Amino acid sequence: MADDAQKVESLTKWLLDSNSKCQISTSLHVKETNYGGKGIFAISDVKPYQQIMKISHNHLINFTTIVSHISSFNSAVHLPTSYKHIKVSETKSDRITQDLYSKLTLDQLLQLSSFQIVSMYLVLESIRGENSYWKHFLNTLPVIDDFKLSPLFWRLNEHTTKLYNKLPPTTKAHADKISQKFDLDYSIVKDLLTKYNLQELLTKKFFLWAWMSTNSRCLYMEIPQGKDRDDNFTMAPYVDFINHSSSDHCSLKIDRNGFFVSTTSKYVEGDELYLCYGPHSNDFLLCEYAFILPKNDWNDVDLTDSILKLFDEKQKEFLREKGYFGEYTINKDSVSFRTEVALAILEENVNDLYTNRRINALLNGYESSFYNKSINRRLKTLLNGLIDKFEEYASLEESDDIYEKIIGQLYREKCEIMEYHLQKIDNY
Amino acid sequence: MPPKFDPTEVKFIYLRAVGGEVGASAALAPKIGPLGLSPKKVGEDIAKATTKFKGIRVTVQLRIQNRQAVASVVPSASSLVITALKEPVRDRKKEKNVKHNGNLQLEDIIEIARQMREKSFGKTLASVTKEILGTAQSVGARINYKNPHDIIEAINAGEIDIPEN
Repeated sequence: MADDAQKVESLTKWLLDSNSKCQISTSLHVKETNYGGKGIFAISDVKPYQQIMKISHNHLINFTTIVSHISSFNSAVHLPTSYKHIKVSETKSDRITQDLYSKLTLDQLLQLSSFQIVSMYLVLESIRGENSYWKHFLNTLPVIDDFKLSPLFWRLNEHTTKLYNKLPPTTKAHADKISQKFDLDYSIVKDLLTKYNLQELLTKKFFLWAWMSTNSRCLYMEIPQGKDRDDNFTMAPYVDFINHSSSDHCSLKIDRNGFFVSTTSKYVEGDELYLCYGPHSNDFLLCEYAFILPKNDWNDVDLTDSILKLFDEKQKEFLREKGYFGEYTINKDSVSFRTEVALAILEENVNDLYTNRRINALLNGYESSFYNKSINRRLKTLLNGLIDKFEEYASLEESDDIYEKIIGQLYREKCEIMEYHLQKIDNY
Repeated sequence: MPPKFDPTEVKFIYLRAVGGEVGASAALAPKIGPLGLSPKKVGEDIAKATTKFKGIRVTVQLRIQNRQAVASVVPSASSLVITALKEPVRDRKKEKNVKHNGNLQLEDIIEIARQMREKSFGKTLASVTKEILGTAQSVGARINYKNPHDIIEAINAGEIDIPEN
């Protein structure tokens, strides 16, 4: 661990270098947490609404800085003015800069998505090692084993594919989507490097590390060159040590001077500082960031598959038109209105859905008590069916294996939500 | 995949509602229903959040994030002025074309100007106060038993001093 502390120290030194224009409050300290990974703790009291970190644009890894840096090796490229504020002035020459950076054209770079370019860059810069401007930051990135809880990792590893198939259906669907994105990004970057005969640098495992590091550490930032919403992110050294909590959190601000973090509440010595990554359920957190919270208010149960089976084409058409097709969920407080609407239309004649007064009243928010009884009855059947299926897996939580334990927890949380609703229906 | 702290995940909806009443949710329902929120429940939440402004039309902000809506009142000059008049609560259905011809002290207006300062583009508190006085005039209220515009002119002429902040 002493080694880790040293890495953090050299990162801090690099950031606080007199020319860097970055600031980190002296009341902060990076420490190993007892639940894994690093976290940021207060070593003296911190007031609310105080700026605690500032990272200048030259120390962020994102689409703009990467294009600006790589192009500085290719004298043929002239960057438009939107890159002018970035100066990554490191031009040490080595194999990668000679064989790749100096040859890549601006068009080739602009074709990549943020995800592809950042992951590729992380791989290439870590190969450049000591020569890299980012070496201190790269040293503090997680190691591949830190992602062993990620379902994407399970799928690629032979010993754990069985586990992957045990995941709750919604978690698995999410993980499938991530895997597809990973495979696509990998093949595109590989193709690009193959053009320059450098494909042997990019092993799948190496790219997986870079890709997961990007995915789990990126922060939202608007990128002027971005092609779509997913391109809007940046990597920010030091800021990425902050862990997730669904409640209390710090706030972020970005302007032309850099990336700012401020507190929103008071911290006393020893408190950990958190950031809310977003209103995410444990399914989402596990797939994207490879961790889950012991208690998460955003957890939900997805009933879409079982509910969609109940409709015929006409009903589906109606729901699509009204914007209520799919995404039928329940969470710990309530049944989603989407779910209520879906179950309510099953009560009515298929042929006059558009003219049915009761349905229209429900959609317009006038009256909803008429359907309560039938919605509850249908929900009860659905939930009882799902609980039977899920409970079998929930017992995995008792297992000694950490993977099975996590899968068990996901199932148990879902069962708890469903049991709560069943009880509520019985009391109704 | 969505990066941490994505502000586009949070949706804001603004609407005008009568304080303390469960309004017609017909306008609201097509917007929030597909987001998984029950229009009826949100209507009740809005009524609860606006009890302070009973019977007065206010702008309400709905902050929607992953099927959770939080309603809050956006301070607006006219609703603050009308609240400050402390009129008796009326039945909107029986009384139409309500006039707000009450009287306010200049101190009340300055207090409202302090609340509105952040939203206003006025440079000094005096200029924000003049904006609020204009609103008071349009609402129909009188200030220190005078026409609000006379007060504005007095401020312009330097006869009345408005504190710095």
